[in-house]
Amino acid sequence: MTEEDIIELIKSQENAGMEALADKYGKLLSYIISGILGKRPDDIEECVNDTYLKIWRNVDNFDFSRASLTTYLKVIARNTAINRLRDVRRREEFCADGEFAQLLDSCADTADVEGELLKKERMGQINDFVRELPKKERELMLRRYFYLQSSKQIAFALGMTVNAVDTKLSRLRMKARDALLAPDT
Amino acid sequence: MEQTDEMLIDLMGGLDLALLMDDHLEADLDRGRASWLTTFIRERNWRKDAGEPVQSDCVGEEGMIRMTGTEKKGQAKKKKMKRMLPIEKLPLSYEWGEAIRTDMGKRFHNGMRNMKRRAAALWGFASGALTMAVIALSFLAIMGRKKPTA
Repeated sequence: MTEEDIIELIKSQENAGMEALADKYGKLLSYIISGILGKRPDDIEECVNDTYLKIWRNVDNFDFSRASLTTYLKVIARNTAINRLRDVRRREEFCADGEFAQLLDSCADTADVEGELLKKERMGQINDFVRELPKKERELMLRRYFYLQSSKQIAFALGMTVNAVDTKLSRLRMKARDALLAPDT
Repeated sequence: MEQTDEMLIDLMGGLDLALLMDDHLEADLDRGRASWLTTFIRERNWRKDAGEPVQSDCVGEEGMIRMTGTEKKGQAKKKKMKRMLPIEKLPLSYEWGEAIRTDMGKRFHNGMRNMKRRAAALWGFASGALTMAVIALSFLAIMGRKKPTA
C-alpha cells in the first residue's frame, strides 16, 4: 500500500488505514523512539501509539505536498519521544541514562516573547547552517541532534568508528556555535 | 560544550521538513548481522586485545604502508609497489591489516585445529561403525549359512 493510499484511508477514518500505517512504519517509529528513550519498552510502545494517534487526529492539517507522510511521522515521533523522556525523568527522578537526558532537562522552553523571537531567529540560522552542510555532515547533525542517536549508533549506521564520529561532531558543534553567534550579514 | 548541545537539540526541533527527507533512517532497518560484525571488527582494539606491544606510533593507512614495507625485506618490488599505492586506493585500513595479522590469524589456527580434531573424531567414529557393521554382517552371513545345513 502506498503512502497516498494510507493517507486517504486515514482521512476517511477507516481502521484499515491505521493498520497499514502500523504495518509499514511501526519498525521505523520504534527505531527512532528507542534511540531517544533507550531501553524502556513500555514507553516506546506508548510513544509509537501516541504518534499514530496524532496522525489520526491531525491528518487534515498536514500538507503532504510539502513533506511526505514518513517525514511527518519522523518529526512527530521525535517530538513525542523527547516530551516522553522529559516526563519520565520528572516522574522517576532517575539519574542520567542517555547521553542527552541531562541536557534535555535544561532545554526549558522559553516562555517570554523576546525569548521566542530569539529562538525563531536562531532556528532560521540553524536551518541555513544544516542546509549548507555536505551530505554526510548533515546526516551526522540530524542523527545526533534531531534523532538524539548515540555515537555508537551513528558509527554503526554510517560505517564509521566511534572516535571518528565524536571528532566530526565536535567540529560540527564548533561550526554551528560560530554560525549561531556570528553577527547577521 | 554542553550548552551548545542543549541549544542544538532545542533548535533542531524546528528544522525544515525538507532537510529531513534524505536522512536515510529507513536504511538502518535493513542492516543485518553482517554490518554488526563489520562494526564489531572495526571497533575492536586489535593490537591491545592481542596483548602485543604497539610497534609504531603511526596510526592510519600510512602506518600500514610503512609496516608492510619493513616486514617483507626480500620482496623489494612488491614493497615499492605497495608504497606507491595512493592511500585512498588501499582496500584495507591499518586496523584491518593488524586484525588479519594478529587476532584473525590466531582464530584461524584455532579453528583449523578444532576442525582437525573434529574430523579425526568423525573419522574414528565412522571407521568404528563400519568395522562393527562388517562384523555384524559377517556374523549374520555365517548364521544364515549355518541354518540350512542344520
